Amino acid sequence: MENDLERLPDEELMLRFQKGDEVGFRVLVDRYRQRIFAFTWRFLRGSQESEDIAQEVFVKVYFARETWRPAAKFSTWVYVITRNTCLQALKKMGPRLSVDSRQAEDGRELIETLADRKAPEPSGHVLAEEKSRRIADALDRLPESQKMAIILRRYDQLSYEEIAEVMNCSVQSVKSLLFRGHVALKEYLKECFADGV
Amino acid sequence: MKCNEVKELLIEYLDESLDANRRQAVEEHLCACAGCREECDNLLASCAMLADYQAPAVSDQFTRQVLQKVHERSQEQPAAGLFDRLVAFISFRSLPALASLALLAGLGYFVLGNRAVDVNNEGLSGSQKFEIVRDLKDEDIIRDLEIYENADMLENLDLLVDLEAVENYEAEK
Repeated sequence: MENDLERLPDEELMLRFQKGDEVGFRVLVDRYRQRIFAFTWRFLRGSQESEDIAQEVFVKVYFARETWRPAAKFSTWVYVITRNTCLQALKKMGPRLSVDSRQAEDGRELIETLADRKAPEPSGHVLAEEKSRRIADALDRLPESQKMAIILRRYDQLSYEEIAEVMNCSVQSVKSLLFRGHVALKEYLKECFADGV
Repeated sequence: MKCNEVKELLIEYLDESLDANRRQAVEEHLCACAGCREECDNLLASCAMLADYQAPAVSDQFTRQVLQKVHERSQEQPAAGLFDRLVAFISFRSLPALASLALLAGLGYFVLGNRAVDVNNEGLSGSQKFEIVRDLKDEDIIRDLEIYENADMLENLDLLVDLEAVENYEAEK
């Protein structure tokens, strides 16, 4: 039964869910959980609360199911909820936003390893994590709206029209946010990778 | 096309979202302008770099935890729902209905109240009717208060009766 549902489009699953078929909801959670978690994780800079917030998105989907209209694309609708949930979380957490402590620790270890000439070369895994941390730093320096537009475009592959719908702005504004965001990001990345890691 | 115009279109060019005419114009400019070509390469490199920032895999328990949270909220929902409905009922939208209801209740009180007094007190004027009703209530209250104040006396009622009997007997004598 669940295997059959997995082949159905999002909108069909949502219609079934609106009629009381909770399996439809479970399939949608399974289908979107990695995407939504990745978005919250990147937008909230690897915060420990990212997974809780991604779960909160689906809880909201569950209780707001009646507000979804078949004319709307499910993926856009779920991203609107994700965006609002992330912004609420940011407002609530503010400076308390707890960046994953393991990330910060790995960063410190790497600097010490690089400084110590006798130490063995850092592993590829550590280098990759450090690279990730620096990209996160660069993204984090962007204004919220530019950062969100870039994440939605580069990682979630949303079209300009979909981003405009999610961010509740015009397509022209999205183009402008992406242009200004990318120009700034290019400079920040250059600064972040100035030491050649 | 000028350099500034081309630079503003570079992201759309890299996203392949330009129409054919503008795409051709940008490509022609890039062929002729080394500065814009460098800008385009840098933007392309920074976009490619973003691919190295990958989120970890979501936990296996994710869906189970979502369903658990939904279950917990559903348990809380009925009480909250009742409260919400009550708040919604007393909201601004229902104010006209509530005002009408209060008006009807007020009218009903006066009309039915007057009718009840009319039935019991035919021939009396309006002000008297209210006075009588108030007097009846007052009488009840006064009687209750007297009973309360004379509670000690009532407890010794037998003694008082005996004393009265003695006094009467002596008077008769």
